[in-house]
Amino acid sequence: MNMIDINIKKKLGSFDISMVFKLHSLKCVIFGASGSGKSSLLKMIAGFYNPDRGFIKINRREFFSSNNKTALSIQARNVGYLPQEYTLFPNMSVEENIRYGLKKKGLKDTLGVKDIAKRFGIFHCLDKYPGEISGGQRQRAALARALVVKPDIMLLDEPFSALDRPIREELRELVADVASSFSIPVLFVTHDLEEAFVFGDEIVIVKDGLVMEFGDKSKIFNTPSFVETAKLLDFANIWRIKKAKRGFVELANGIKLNIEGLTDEAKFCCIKPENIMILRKDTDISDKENKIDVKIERINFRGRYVNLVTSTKNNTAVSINIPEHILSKMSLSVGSYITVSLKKESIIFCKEFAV
Amino acid sequence: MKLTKISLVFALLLCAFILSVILYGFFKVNPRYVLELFSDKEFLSSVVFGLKTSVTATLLSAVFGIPTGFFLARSDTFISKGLDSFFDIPLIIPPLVVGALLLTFFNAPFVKTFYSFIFTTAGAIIAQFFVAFPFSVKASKNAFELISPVYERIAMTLGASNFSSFYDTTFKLAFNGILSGLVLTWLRSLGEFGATLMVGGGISYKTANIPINIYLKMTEGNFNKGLAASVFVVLFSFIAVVAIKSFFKKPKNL
Repeated sequence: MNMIDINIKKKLGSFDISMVFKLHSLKCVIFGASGSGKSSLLKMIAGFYNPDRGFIKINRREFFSSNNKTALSIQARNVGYLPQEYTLFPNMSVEENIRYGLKKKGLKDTLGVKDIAKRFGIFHCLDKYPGEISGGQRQRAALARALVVKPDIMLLDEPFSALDRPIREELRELVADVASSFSIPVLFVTHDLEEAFVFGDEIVIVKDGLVMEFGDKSKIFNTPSFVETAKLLDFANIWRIKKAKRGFVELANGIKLNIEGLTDEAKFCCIKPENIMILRKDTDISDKENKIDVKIERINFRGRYVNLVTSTKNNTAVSINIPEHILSKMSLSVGSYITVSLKKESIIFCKEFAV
Repeated sequence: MKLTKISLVFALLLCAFILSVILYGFFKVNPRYVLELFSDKEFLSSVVFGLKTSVTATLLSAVFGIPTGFFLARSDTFISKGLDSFFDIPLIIPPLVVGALLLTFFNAPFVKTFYSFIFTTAGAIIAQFFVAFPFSVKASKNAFELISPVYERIAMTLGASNFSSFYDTTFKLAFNGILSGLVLTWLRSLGEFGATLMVGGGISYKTANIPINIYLKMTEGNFNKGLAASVFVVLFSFIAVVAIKSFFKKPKNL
């Protein structure tokens, strides 16, 4: 069974990294904002530098352990590393790049460089130099180069961030295919929420050098435990709980909600903008739960959806996402008053993260 | 666009100034004297001495300058910043002053007992090395700075040893920049006058390089021969630089 077992502490200047997590899936994502320590974590796994304390175990192999005084060299770790930039060696052709690892490790071309190149759609680029091919082709070739030496783990550090969306999606699928077909665990670092959601089976949420949460992606995306995670996962409506009784909460902003599943540690009520339902005035809304009247303050067009920035009577901001066609269908415009419903099952409760 | 045109005027003026000085020399020189240089044993000896000392000084600069440039490019410490400025010193001090300082140093008892550098080829090489090595350091530093260390790390993940990862990626990618620095170092050494004269003594057939030979010709009143030798040096340097640059031409795909 694949296993990524990390427990590390590292001081990088004034920035402290302290991360503990275990993952078991082939496709894992490290998600967090820029500067949260994601890339540093990957570099420590690759052996570019070592943690100050702790251990790094990949598939039960100890890459680093301060207790056992183990620190494998970069070469001995057998990892595939793919950053966003500076991927292919510019002074070598694509084929020379792909064969580089085989030559250095003295390995036979068991996977077949030409076959891999065909599979990755770069066969026609083999004679070309990195400066002569597109960014997407470069990343495909870099992926092929990492793969042909059969690494124990692939470390991808935001490898597709600089590419256009359709190419990004194609390459993401290619990586997922590589992970499954060759049974190579992939640790994929990203700050893109959509990418994190689409790619991984398991996820690690990182903030300010700390692991907020880790584990099953769907569970964390839908019901994060901490308010800090909820913020990262686009729960735009996060309200502090003032009073809680059985099946009922009063929020600090005065909103009262009927709820279910409240825990004692819960300090915040969170709801995603897409889970707030706008109620049509021409229909019977008496049976709808948690109704709130809001005024539309701003309409932001986000491409695939529209974000309505609204406010309640006591100026509490409520963010709502709707498909674009609803906007014209319901004749919504800035200044309109609407009634929205917050379904009980869409409301989640979070606690504060404590180190 | 307008700025580009204005700056072009300055570039052309600069070009006109250099060309007028060189071409006037070419215009005034008598070709007979240029041809006579090839039978002038004193001049040929200075060419051989100049090439020998400048090439050795350049090799020494490569040996010390490339690793130093790499350190300065990769390190971001107080020491590296201090050293970076420190290596400007040989460029700031006038060559004659360098010569005077080296002469004093070579006369120190602890050096003299070890080896007598004064009026020797070794002394001239050290003088040229002192004056010219900063070009290698600076060029190597600039060249290495342009190459991301990520290439080396990726090479290591692919099984390359620490040295091999450096040589296969960073060094090869920085090579053209380093080479430019070495060419400059060589030209600076070849044309070095002050420090070489002070340390080497400018002895004909022994420690006189091309500029010293030209100087001696001029002071002896052989103006035409001096001018012919100067024209020869300009042509020789130009051809040599073009040849080196074409030989190590940067591939188009890089």
